[in-house]
Amino acid sequence: MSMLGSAFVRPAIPVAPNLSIFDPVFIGVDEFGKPVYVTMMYRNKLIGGEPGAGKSSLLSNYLAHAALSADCRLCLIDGKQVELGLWEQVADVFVGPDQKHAIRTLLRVQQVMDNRYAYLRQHRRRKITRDDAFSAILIVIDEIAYFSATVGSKTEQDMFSALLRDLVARGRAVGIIVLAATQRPSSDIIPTSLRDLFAWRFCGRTSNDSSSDIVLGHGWASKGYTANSLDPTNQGSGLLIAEGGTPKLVKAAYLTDDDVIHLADYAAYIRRPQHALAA
Amino acid sequence: MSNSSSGGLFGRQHTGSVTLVDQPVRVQFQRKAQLTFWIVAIVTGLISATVLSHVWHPLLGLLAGAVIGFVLGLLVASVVLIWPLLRALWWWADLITAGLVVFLGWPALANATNVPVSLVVLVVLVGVPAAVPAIRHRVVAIVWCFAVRHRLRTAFAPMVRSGGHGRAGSLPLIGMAWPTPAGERVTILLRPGLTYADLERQLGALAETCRADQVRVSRASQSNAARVRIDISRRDPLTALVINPLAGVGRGTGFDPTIVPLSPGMPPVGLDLPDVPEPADPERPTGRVPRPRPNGNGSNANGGNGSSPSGRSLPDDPNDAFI
Repeated sequence: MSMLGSAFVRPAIPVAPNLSIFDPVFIGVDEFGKPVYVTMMYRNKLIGGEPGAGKSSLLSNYLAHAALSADCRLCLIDGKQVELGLWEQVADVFVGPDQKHAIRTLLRVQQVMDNRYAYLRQHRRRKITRDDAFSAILIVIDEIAYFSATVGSKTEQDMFSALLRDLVARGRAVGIIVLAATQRPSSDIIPTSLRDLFAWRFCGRTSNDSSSDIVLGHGWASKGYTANSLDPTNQGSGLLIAEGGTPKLVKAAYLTDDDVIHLADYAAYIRRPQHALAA
Repeated sequence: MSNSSSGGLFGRQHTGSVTLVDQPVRVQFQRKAQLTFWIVAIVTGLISATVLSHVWHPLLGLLAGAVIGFVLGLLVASVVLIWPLLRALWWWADLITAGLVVFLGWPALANATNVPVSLVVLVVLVGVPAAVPAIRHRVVAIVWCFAVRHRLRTAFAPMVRSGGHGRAGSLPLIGMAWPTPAGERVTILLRPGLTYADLERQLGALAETCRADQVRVSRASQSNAARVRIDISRRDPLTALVINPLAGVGRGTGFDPTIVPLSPGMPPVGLDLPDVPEPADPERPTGRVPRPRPNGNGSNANGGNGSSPSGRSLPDDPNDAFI
């Protein structure tokens, strides 16, 4: 009788809103007013632009989708703490201004990546799919320059860059996605060999054509695609280039801090089975 | 077809003269017309003479063939000779048509109706689009679409002339222009004389000629390099705030955010400059929250003017700072 009764009890675990990291992510609208969707899975992304260009707004769009996707784990690395800190409740790992912790986290993810590749090789497969039991892992790094060129010793900075390059280069097929943001990804900030691995790039407002080309790729400013011409007061607008295509003018959608906190709380709530939060 | 001559501070214009066809183009088509005349005259004359010789006397057929060849050659050569003028008229056909409608339509309307009715029709035709912003913006956008094709052609002409591609080039074929939220989009088909690289080098000049803020070029086809898309931007269409629809997820479902545990609270210490001493190793600032060390008289030794703004003392164990 008790078992029969329990079958009609309202489930204690809420139902997720059916989002998946394999679904396209809504990030804003283009200059024709059409919604812009970006596929998150198997694609690493780089976000650049001067302070106040709207990098955090775009990051929030990606994070909101990933947080509400029960098949995605979050590793948040934020030297400034407050940009990604609002999502800390829903992250598996949150790294603040701690270079060693950041390196340990990347080493840990690298180990997961190697294990997954060994698993796929044993099963004669090349990449994970939506039906796999293990989750995708989204590594979000806000202000990558803090870890690659500012804090720590030269050895630690190089190690951070090398680990990140390895994850960007090899992680896609096993569901390890890197989403990195920085103001100006020049070669003195992150190695060119790392920067060029990001096929999807968003460039917010920059102070000159050279900075725009550093984010989007060489030569786009000469074709008229320069983030230097964007209105500095129009935060969130920028040029999005995807895997060898033509840059597209995009306005990133906006989430207020209140929205972000609500979504982070709600995402933590629907992830209770994974995180065993106290009721 | 004369050109204006410069003189004085601003240059002196010969009023009443308009250059419809440039001199190099005119000379080029004169040569083409001469060549066309001889080819058409000889070919059609020979064919006509051959055919007519079977019907008439051979001498008569030969003579008739020569006349036919001469006439046909003259006709075709005339078309070739005036082709630049016909092309210019075709280019300006939209504006010529609009002008005819305006300058002929109003007298026709005035003759067909009385003055009050004519005025009412005029007010409706002009006033409504002017008064309704949506219609006005649409009309202005369409007018720009017509105008921008002429402006692009005006911009292309000197590029072709000074392109340095050897032989005289041809203007690209300019397709229809379509309004976009930012301005206009035009697809062109490049022809010998103007290349994609030339356009990339002249973006500033294109923008100035089109009275635009910015011009962008990109390939319109992956299989045909001659098809080029030109985006003319006059305004920023992305000024409005875009709300992420995910912001509404979970709202109104009875979700209680208080059941979500928060991170351990952090006391407000080490938040001001006097609370943070200069690090021992200046090459590697740790940025950690310092532990205040009371000196002999019991005051805070961290800074010159002060204790922690919170007025709270820190525990001995740094881990206890996160309670």
